[in-house]
Amino acid sequence: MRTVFGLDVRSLAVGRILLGLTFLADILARVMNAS
Amino acid sequence: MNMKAHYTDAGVFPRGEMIARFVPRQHASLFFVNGSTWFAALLFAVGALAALAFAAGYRTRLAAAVAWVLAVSMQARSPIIGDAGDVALRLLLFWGLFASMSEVWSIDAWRPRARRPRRVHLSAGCIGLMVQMASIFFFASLLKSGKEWHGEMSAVYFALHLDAFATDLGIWLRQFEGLGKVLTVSTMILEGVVVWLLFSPWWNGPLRTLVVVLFVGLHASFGLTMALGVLLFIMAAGWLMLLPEWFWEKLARRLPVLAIPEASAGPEPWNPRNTLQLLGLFLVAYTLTLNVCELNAARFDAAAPRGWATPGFILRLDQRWDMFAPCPLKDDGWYLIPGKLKSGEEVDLATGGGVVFHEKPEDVAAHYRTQRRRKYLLNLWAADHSGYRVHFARYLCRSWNDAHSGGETLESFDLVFMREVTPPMGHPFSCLVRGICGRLG
Repeated sequence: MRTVFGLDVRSLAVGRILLGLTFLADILARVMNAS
Repeated sequence: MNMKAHYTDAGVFPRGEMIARFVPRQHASLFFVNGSTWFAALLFAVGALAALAFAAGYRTRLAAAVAWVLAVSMQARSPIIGDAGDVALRLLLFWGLFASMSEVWSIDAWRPRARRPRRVHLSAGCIGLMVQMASIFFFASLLKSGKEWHGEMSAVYFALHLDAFATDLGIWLRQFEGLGKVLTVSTMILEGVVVWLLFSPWWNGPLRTLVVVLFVGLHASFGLTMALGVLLFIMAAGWLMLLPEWFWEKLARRLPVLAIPEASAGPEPWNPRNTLQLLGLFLVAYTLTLNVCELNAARFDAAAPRGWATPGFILRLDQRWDMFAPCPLKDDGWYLIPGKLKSGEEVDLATGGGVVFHEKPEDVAAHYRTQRRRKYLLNLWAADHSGYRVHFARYLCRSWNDAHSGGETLESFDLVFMREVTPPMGHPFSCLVRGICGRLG
């Protein structure tokens, strides 16, 4: 269970940073030139 | 077109019409509260701050919750411009609520803590993130039921011939039909078989690393050959979250800055009896049933308990991974919007008032300018979305006449979709159909 489903905290951090920045970029795109 | 076009009452679909005709009643949105531009701007500002706080790891769980609410709100307000990346974004944020996302490399981690961080974290959120990423691709492989994926192996050929999406590299690569067949088979093997290696109890570290590298590579190849917006980055974020401890420890031998020397070995003690974790585990199982049911929606509707899918719609766990399924589109095209001005002059509203060119644009993908605009206009052509067309026409007319007067006032225009059909492999292109979506005047 722990071997298969455990996640490294550094992986979660990298994913969090990329996901947050992507969402930020997406919001800016929706505001500036959404369609 | 900008924020005003898709999120305000002055845009392409006023709230009343959206709620009444186009949005399932379970889909809530803060944008339904008020239709003014200042309110939309306020919500986007809150969303941007939440996204920034989430990335920085500042009050991370609260930031994830706010970001999720805003993401869900944006998607419910204008579903016609959404894509698979949007669905993945809201789901990753949701499962992130049940995991510790800020143990390291975050502002939250700088605060004094009672316990030392551990390298490996186990929670319902981790299980949710892993099962979600695997579900996206495994269920996508099951929904790819067309002969283009299983018989003639022409799926990549058709996908790369969608000029509305193809990049220069994609256009160049599509001449190699044999390579297209290899890539079609490879995609099916990756999505249907290789993805299961994530859950291997043996050699989990190397195998999980291999899966992450292969899928990030798959998305990079999609991103290099097709214009798909932020999909690549959202999927990459989801996959990078799954990199195992084995990968980081190998890397830390060469880059000691990546090591966590003070960490205790092994995963932190997990208490599955915690109410939040129990709820998370239940939702993981529930979401799996939703995915299974999407394989045969008609049969499920008859067999499932009444209202079974309703919580999924409310929490926006609803998902259907039918990218290029059951087969890729075999037609696409571009728009001409010839408008007649009061002076008698004809202008193309699709290009903001330029001369009307009836020839195919040199770069069809660039003709759409942005991914959201591409999704909107291509969906507008689909019969399912024909109800949106009159609102788009009214919006175009309003926008033009607000900025022009006298002889430049718009009197009438056509909304014309120049549809190009991709022939089967080995056949010449010959079919170009001019389809009129609507006429206003």
